Amino acid sequence: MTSVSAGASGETTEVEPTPRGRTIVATQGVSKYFPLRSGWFGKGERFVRAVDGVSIRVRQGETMGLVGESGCGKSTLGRLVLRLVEPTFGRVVFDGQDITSRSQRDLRPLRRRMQIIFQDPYSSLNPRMTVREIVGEAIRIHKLAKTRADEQARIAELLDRVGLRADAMDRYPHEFSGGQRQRVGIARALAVEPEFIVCDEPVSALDVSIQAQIVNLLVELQESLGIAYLFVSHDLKLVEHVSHRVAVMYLGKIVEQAPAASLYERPLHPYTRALLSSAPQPDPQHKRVRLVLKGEVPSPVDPPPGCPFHPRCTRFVPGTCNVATPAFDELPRGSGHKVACFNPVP
Amino acid sequence: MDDALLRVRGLVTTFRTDRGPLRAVDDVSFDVPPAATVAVVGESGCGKSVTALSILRLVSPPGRIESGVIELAGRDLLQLSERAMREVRGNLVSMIFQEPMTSLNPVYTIGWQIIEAVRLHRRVSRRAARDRSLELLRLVGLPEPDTTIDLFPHQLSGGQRQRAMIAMALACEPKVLIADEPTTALDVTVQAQILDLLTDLQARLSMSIVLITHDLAVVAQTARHVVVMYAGRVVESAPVTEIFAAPAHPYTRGLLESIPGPGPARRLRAIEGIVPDLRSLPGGCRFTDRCPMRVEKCSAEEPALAPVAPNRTSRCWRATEVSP
Repeated sequence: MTSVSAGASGETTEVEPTPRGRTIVATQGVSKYFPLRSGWFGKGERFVRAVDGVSIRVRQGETMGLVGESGCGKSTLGRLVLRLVEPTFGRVVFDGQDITSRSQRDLRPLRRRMQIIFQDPYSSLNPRMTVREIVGEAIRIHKLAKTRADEQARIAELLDRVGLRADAMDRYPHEFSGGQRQRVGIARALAVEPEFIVCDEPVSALDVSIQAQIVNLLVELQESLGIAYLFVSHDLKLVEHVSHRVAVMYLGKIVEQAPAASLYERPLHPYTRALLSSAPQPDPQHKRVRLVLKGEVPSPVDPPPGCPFHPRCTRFVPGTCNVATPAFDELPRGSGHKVACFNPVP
Repeated sequence: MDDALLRVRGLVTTFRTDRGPLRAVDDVSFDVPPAATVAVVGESGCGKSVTALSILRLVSPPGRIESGVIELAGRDLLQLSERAMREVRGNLVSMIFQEPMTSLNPVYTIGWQIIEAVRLHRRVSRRAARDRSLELLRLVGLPEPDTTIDLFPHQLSGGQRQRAMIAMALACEPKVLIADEPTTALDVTVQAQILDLLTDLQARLSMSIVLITHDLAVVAQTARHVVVMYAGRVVESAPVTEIFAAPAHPYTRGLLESIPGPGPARRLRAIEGIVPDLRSLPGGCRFTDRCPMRVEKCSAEEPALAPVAPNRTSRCWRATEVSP
């Protein structure tokens, strides 16, 4: 499966090896603890550790996939890198500038360069605004058009770019299907010519045949405009398909990160392996190797000590995994494949 | 399939709307053999869930079953009185849903609800019903049944709730279980557990399952036979291995091709366009506008669902050319 069969189909393009561009966005040990009901005088206050000491970097023009199950913190991490959620600890760096403690006003010039596309195009578009207003608003806020005619021309160009007809301009979100609405959301994100977009489950709410249309649009936009994506999704197959590199999250921590091909062919973390083997294959002949995980994800309020995965792990080493936190090591060195595990899958 | 346990024939279910009746299910027919899983597949609005509700006669106004036959173990359910139908539901056919919270009552304990399901159909004491409930909770693999039986739905996780709902549906050992997107709201690792549980229960209770889903990977892993629906119509029906190996309808092929495969190709093969509005269907075949194989005849005349091989049907003029 590794070799790229050239000319298998005219429409397919090869994924380049990870682009070696400069880092557009990075986090250093970033954490988000959400407080629960506080105790007496703040004593015994408990926290949901949604994201717990995560360091990632996304390079220019690259797609970084972020996978994990519900509640693992992947969406919160997506919002942390945009400072839509304030970090409890750690730093967020955008294009070499530390933006962790910048005021929202000082952030505004950078906001233009980073955008987000949401899962639910039904709730992320203002129902009282026409497409013209939705897309035009971003252009106006960032003063990207000199005249009204310029602005209109730009909106028309954006709609064309995302595959919407010009007559979409004066219609309201409810007049569109889910897929078309997602195209409007993408046009809005593109309006400010961003270099980086967080795609938060961008196609999860769409039908299979429409998912493919939107994924193709995102890939095409990356190829023509060089936009970097942090692609957050629970869909392992989809992430493999679009990403150059993939990070796997479990209980607020990244447990494994690698170039996409390497991660899917040779998962090192027992959780990644279980996750991959759980996903049903669209092939009736395929006999699933039963690696079904026991139990469910523990609460992020009191995560297990040591490695957060140890209570469910098939490769648990007593006295080690439940005591110490594994380092996030590259294995083998220079491969770009990192794993946080004392007893990785051989 | 002469030995079918459940036979659906020419089912038509309509919804009254401001702009005239909408045929959500339009002449749907399929068979479900005993102790086998038949998957009904399609995208939102194709009529798969309404088909499921029609089997149980749970379509409520403005929806209405217009015509057809739903034959279960030799009886046409559409001819039964409402009273007789209530005996059928739960006893012979049960249903589980995507979101267990919609079918579990939040103000009663899990045990109370299962006990009620048991006593609705069987004249047994509360004591015996409680024992039966514990047995069911054990059957569906819920941890510590003695504790779980007294918990409220919100105290369970998503996967556990799905198990509790399955326990309730199985209270009277139905012959047919209708599962409407039973794992769609669950994470993959929990989905795998629930699919394993259903497969296991099917073998132990020799029960038929009608699996309503949009997920072809789930179909590949669980079903024996597949019915593909598009815009209210069945467009293809075939044994699972055959439909994945060689689809006989362009829509099925499009669905299969739009699944991201492994490997480095970054473009997916999408089906262009969108599903037609059921109130203003194109003339001829309903898939015409999106079909890469359309010819003139397709927009003029709708093909019938015709046999293409033993146990296989397709609603396409060019069925034999779809998988050359």
